[in-house]
Amino acid sequence: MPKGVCNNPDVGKYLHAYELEVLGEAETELFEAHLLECDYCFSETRKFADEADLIRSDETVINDVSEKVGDIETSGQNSVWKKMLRRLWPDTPLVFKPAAALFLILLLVYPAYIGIISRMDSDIKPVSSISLMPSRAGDAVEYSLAGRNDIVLCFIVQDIVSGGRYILELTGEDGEMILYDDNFGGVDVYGVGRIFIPSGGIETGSYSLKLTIADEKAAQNMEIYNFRLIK
Amino acid sequence: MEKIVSKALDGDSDAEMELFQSLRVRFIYLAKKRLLKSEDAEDIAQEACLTVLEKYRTADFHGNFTPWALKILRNKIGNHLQSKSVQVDREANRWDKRLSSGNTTRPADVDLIRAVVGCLRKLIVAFPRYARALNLAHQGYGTDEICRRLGIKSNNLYVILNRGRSFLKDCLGKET
Repeated sequence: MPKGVCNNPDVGKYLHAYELEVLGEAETELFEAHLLECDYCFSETRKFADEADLIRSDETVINDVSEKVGDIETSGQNSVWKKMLRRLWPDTPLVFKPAAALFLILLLVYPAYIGIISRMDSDIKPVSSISLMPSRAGDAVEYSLAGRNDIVLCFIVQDIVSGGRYILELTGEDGEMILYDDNFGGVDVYGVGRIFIPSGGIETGSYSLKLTIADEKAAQNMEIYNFRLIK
Repeated sequence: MEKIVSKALDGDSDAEMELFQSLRVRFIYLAKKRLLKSEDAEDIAQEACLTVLEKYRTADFHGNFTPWALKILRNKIGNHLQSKSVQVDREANRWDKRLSSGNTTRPADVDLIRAVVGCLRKLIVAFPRYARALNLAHQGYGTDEICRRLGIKSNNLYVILNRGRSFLKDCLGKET
């Protein structure tokens, strides 16, 4: 085995990486097996062992290298932030700095954003949905009114007439007519009718909703829904 | 190595002696690299050598003697670390060594450190890519990550490292 030459340069190339302990497990194992049979690499690692140990783990050496190279090579997240900072705040006059332009844009856009948000907030109100079932017995079902919500009354129509028009009457406790529509078409194909009542349009109390087919005002074609709204 | 092994297997006692002397020196070096206590390393290397000596005639290592012998050594080291929890001591020792390096370094080491630092400074100016790779190695990155960060292939990295090492050796006046 010649002394001055590595007998397997393909593995011998790992020499200094092995000394610095940066090789992966497989390469380390390969190089250690190589050390058992290569006199040259073994004598090299032994000769340079003290220096390699210092280069790898001595604090003075590590600090010295990082001081000199630190500006060029920084690690992980830190370098990303520095790069971003350098792009946003380059060495140019203030008017050409992207960060300054960005700040100016935000300054202009912010009042508009605040205006849009406040308008949207003031127009939107929460909605309470009340589901009603037809009742012949006259029993009223109680529902709790939550604050000043808009209300959607949903009611099931049992004998649905396809494309039919209905007469809808919503009356209060004392028979006062609150809502009357003689051409109500708000019943969908699944037999569910809906009425939207804006906030403040209805107060607490007992109510009766009557739905009749527009062309035949007969009792058997009438649905009555009784309900009571409480606070 | 394989030639010496085959000779030893044929009954050549000189070859057998040469094989085990060579193995013993290497095993001690490799064990010392993994264990800080040199007495332990020598004991383990000795034990591994004896195991190889006992088994190499009957073991089926398919012509690859060195990986087989290395596996025996690694198993011995692994068992030792597991049984005595040396791993913890090793880490603690390493930290102790680092923390106290400023106060307890021997005068000869101080000279060596100064020489290494001086040569590294020259090397950083002359060969900045080596310095960048070394800096990343200090930060704990492996070869794959260093290559990714430097934007080079692994073979280029090994060439850079070995060139840097040659430069350092020349600078430190070490024999080649």
